[in-house]
Amino acid sequence: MNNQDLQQQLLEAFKTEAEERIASMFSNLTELEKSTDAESLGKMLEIVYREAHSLKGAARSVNIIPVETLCQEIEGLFSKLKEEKIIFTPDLFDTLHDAVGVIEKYLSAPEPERHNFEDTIGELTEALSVYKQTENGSKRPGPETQQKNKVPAEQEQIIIPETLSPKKQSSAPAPAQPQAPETLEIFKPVEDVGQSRLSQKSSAKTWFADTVRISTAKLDSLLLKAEELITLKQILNQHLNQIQGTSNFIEKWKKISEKSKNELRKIRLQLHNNSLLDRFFQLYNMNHDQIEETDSKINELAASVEQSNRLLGGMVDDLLDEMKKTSLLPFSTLFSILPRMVREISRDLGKDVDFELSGGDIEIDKRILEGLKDPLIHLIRNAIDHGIEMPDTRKLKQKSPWGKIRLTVSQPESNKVEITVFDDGKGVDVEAIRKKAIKAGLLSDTKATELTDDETISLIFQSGISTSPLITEISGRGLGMAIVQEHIENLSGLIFISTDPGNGTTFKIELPVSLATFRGVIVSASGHNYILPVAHIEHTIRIEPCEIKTVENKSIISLNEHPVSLVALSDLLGLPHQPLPDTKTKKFTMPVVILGSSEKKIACIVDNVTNEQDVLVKSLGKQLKRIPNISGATILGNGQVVPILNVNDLISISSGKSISLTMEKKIDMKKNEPQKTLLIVEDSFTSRTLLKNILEASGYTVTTAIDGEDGYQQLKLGYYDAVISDIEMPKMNGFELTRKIRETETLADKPIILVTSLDSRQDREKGIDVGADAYIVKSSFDQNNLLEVLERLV
Amino acid sequence: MDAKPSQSDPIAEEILKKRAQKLAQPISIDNKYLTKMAVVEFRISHEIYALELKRIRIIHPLKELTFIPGTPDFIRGVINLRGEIISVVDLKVFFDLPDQGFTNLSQVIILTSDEMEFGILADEILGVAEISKNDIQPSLPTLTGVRQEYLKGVTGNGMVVLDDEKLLSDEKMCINL
Repeated sequence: MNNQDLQQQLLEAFKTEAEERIASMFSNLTELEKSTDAESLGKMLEIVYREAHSLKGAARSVNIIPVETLCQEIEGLFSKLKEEKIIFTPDLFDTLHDAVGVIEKYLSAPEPERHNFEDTIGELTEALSVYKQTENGSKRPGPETQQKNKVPAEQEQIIIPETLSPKKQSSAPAPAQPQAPETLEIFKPVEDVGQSRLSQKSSAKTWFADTVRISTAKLDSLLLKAEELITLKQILNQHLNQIQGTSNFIEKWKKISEKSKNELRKIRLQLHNNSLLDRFFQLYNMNHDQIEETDSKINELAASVEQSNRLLGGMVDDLLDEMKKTSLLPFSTLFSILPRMVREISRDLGKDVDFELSGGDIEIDKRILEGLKDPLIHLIRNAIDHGIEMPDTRKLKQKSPWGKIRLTVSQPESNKVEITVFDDGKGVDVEAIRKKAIKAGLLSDTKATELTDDETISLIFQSGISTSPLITEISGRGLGMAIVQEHIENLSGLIFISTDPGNGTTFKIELPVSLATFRGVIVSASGHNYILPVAHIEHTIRIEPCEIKTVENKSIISLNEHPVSLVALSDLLGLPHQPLPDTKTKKFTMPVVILGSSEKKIACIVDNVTNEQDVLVKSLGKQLKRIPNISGATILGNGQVVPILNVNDLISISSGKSISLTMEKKIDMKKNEPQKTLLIVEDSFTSRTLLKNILEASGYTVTTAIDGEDGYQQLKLGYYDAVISDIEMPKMNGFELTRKIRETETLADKPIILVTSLDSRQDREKGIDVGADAYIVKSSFDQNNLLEVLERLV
Repeated sequence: MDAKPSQSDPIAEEILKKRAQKLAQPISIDNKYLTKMAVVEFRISHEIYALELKRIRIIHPLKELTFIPGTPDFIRGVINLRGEIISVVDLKVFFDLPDQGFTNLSQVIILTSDEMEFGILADEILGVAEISKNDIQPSLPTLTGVRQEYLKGVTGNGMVVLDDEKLLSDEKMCINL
């Protein structure tokens, strides 16, 4: 490796390290600002001090001087803070935040633009060094520390929480502490300090003991390879089926051979002393033995393949499960950015906010965590902007001037994660939402009064509704919550809101732990297969063309007496239409999938709905970053790639759309295509009903007659496409009826099918003689036969 | 149609001279790099193309192509490459070339970089060859149009050398709708 490569590699490593250290400094600074507990104060001071020190060293090793100098100042300042030679002031916090912020900006800027920040860095370095020199360190908030201020000696001032039990704390500085910083380094906690201290200690230890850094690219490729094993598993399964098929075949062969053997034995007894036959019998026996041998061998093979199949299947499933776990990340990685954001927003708005985080050690799919970032930021912003009141207002309401925002992550079930975002602000004004919704045209006056408060609050997830009278930079545009909901739903999650006017608002988000698989239904449109997530399918139904109604130029169907707009999947995807299935003799129905996302619903015509199965989401590759209506793809067992549809996209592009004209025309043609009518002439009630049901189910309109005479009268009165008649009937039998029909000029070429139990050659011939078009014997009667004949004749 | 200016026309001569200067390029003999490069030669309808080896991840026979609705026409679909999904580009459509009759796009050449990856459809893979960089002529009057900007040039025997880096970094190739 040459020098340049090494430098490059060092820089990469430095970047990752710096990101982590900066995040940790930010979150600890924020914590420091609101903490009054001496023990945690000392701990956090120590962390920031350590982080600054390490970042300084790292910056030096990659020769980034400005960062090094600034870190040095921060480090120096913190060492004085630790010694309590200076104390925190709000100004100092701002300067420190700015300093860490500028380091972050400097490092994330591309090399040529970095010099833009150098002035700011210089100024901040200067400012910090001024702070460092003005030793105002006489007191610090909190009674405990005030007492301690009496002790001047340097090392005795260092607070080492991890090594001090709470009891010992009162007996003040323990001996042999000068080495303290080194001791502490071992216990360096993870970035988020937002959680309880106890859990943090333990997690800090495991962090160092059990963690290895692996690039996500490597993990992804491992996961990919593990997923490929699924295909192998399916192939093996197929092979097993083939072997079992062969085994069954050989089994049958063996039985035939045994039967022949018995017959041969009888023949030999009849023709005794025939030496040629003896020889034949001998050969035959040899053959039979071979068959038996093969049979037992193949059964053995089938058994062992089955066993390895089961073994491999289990192993593949386990491996995949474990691999999926490697793509899980703790929430703490997301938490690290939040305290700083809360601090900045609340400072801008002049509100005091106490931000609490818990559940940072709960793990969730990396992709979900990434997708959660924006919605969570949005919810927290909203909470500060709309929820929390100004400190004065809070005091008037007898609340603590510090508003509280609590973000809690919990895992109620092994595959489910629940996030709640609570603020103790003023709550959501239900009436205001009602009014806005009416104003925005989402609700009619009458409907508004019918809705319960809970239903009304849920309206804030619709776009165009915001309770904030003021549009600010942060929120109030009324789009936010709709987007939050969409994001959460795209992660296969759900979001709920509840509010207690005057006391606060709670958002609850439910998410799956892993995104990798979900249940999907395979549908087809214009000859291509697509997958729809089951979570978005409300029903699958079949509709007849006559159920489609047109209202204001839009096609709708009625579902539980509610109108739902009807579109065709092929129209939404811009695919050419395929001819509708040929159903001349059957009743024409179309499969329709009812898709739902939050409040909106559409009915979508598809060509076909096949099976439901577990779907493993894959990306469409690096080139196809985002495609409308398609969220990814999956690979079926046979290797076929099937796109996964994005239901949110489909619903939003469907608004205002209707079935395309070409599709409508085709459906209309089907609608106007007259149904074929049949006359059944049969004296037995049971046979008559049976036939009627079979034929009606196949889409014919059926009329019945109880005997030949009745049948003939009916034929003269109405139009029928064909006649199906029994033969043995009272008054006029089938032969007579047929003859009579043939003799009547207007009915002469009517197709006639005789269905009968009479199965003799004479009867058949007689049937043909009198002019029947087909003759079906009841004993061989199966409905497909009849339907086929009908289809041919009608 | 005689566009040739008479020799005594000084203005025309001036224009021609300027044009010649504009088109003239110094013969680059860059000693820092090897003057030879390894390429894969392939055929798309009746034309022979070449792509440098270094950006080619794999060449794979085309089996099943799944159409993705909503993509530009030059994306012919996606394939399953050992469990990974990769999109496939038809250069004829991308280059806006007139339909050149019968093609049997049966091979996929997968180009890859850190940010981008896609397959290019080819009728036939002719093999790997080494060509001299000096042999690549910057341009040929017949190869005008969209294609021009994605070419490194044309070799003496008429093979079109594609610019892999340009193809991989081109914004038009990245579908973000």
